[in-house]
Amino acid sequence: MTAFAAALRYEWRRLVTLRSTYWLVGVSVFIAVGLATLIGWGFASVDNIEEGESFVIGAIATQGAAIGAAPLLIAYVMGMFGLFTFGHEYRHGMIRATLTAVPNRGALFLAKIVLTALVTGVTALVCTVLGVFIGNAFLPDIDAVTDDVIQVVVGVSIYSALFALVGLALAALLRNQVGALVLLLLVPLVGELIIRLILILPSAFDDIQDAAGYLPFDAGAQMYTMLDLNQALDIFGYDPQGPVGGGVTFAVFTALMLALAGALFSRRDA
Amino acid sequence: MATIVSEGLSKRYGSKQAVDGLSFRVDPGSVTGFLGPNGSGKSTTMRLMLGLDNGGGSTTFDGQPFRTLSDPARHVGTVLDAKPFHPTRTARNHLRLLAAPNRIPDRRVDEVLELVGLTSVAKTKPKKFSLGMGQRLGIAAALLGDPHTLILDEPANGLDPQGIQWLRTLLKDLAGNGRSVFVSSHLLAEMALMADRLVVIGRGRLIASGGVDEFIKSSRSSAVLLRSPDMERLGPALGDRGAYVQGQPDGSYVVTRMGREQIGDVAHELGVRLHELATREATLEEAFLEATGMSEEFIGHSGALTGAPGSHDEGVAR
Repeated sequence: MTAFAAALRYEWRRLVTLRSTYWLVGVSVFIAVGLATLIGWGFASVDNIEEGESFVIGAIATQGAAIGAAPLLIAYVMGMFGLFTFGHEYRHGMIRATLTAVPNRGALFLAKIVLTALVTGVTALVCTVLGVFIGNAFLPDIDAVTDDVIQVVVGVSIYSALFALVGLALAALLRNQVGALVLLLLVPLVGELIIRLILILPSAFDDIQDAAGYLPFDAGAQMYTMLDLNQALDIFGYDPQGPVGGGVTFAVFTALMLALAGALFSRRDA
Repeated sequence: MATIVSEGLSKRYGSKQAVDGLSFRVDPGSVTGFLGPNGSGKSTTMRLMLGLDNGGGSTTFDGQPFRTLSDPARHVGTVLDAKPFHPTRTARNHLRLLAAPNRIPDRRVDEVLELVGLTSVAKTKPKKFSLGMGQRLGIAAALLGDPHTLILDEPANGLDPQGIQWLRTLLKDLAGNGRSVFVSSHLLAEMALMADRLVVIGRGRLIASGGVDEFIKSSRSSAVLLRSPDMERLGPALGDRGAYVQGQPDGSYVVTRMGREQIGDVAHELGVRLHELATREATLEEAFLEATGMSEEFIGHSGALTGAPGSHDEGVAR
């Protein structure tokens, strides 16, 4: 426990003495407020939005991600945050200095996970809540606090934190910031889309098309997806998982990545 | 107390045995120099001692392995890499970062900055630091916890002559106060001035360990200085008897492979005059080259790493 407390003290000071911490949190808030304002202003100028269509609030708060119109930008920024947690150690040769200051590798790894999850989760939460306020300001007639909107706010926070942890695990596994960044961007944005397309198109893969629901990033995205764009996929007979099932799938995937990264980290030469 | 005991340290990279059953001991109150040719496993050994690299053997600091020390910076200070810091974190924040887990107050951070002469650049980002300034920051980090043991890998790298002299004085003072200082360097002249004891390795194996004086005295590179007006007769005679005679610019001669007494006897036999006949002790550099040269020769002849430890003692003098 004392080793873990020491590791937390190290990790916290590492974050507060690093420029990129402020940059990434700042960029998240900037994106959230800026884009939410732009989208909210756009919706407000359309007069046919009816009361009860709270998906509009979700769309504003997630900069379009909740209705599948855009990737969840905040998650990608927070992914960079997680990636730097280990990426900087290897990029700048800090790892040996770190491990002489905190020789207990298990404690260090755990401290990095805990603080990364906390900072990214809270940042995403604040950003999304700000987005809800902005949506409410532009569209005061729409009920802003519905179960759906709350699910989006919670979903974005959890997804962003898990996404950041995947970034952390990738950087720890590859010990290479650039390689980890490429994977973190390409797999969810391109890789999964292609695999999902192949799986759900009418083809020889029909028997296993439900496997598409377990593509980890896509499954996790169900946590903040509101307007079910997936309904459009019904014509293929494909039914994705719900927010809870999807969230569990993404969480299990993240846990496996972290376990693998942690096991290698404790055994490798620094 | 600040005793380091390393036993059976081993590390293999693929088919290369980088460190091979290395055991030694570092006692408090002395600067112990760690010598070996490039690639002989010095840095790997230091990383093994600190549990940074995984390999065979064990190292304890007053009986405890490094990884189990609480507040390790208060026990063992280290310099390992030349520039181990984030380029945009200020020097002071870098030290505060390393201080945080070890519960070292900011006051001490400012003290060590002052000690290494970096106070004026405390708030500067170290990406603009010269190698020497980076090295001073590394030394400051090692001293943060006022540790009883220091493990320093080439700490003089990049320091200017004043810096090297400062470091020498600092390390001697620290050792004089009962600390253990284990320091590697390729600057042999510097090591001769600084170290009281030596651990010498070659190809990952221990070649010698003990006092610097004994190490030099044991060298076969020790020679005899000879001056004689009758060298045209004495020189060939010594050569015929197996000695190696080298003329010096000042008109004297350096004789190796033959002792002072024997040379005197030969001179007496020939009836030649001697103006000077004196033993010249080897320098640390000569002793080191001889010792490590033998280890390379031994490995080269055996072809594989199968020789028994200690076989190098039978090596042939050059």
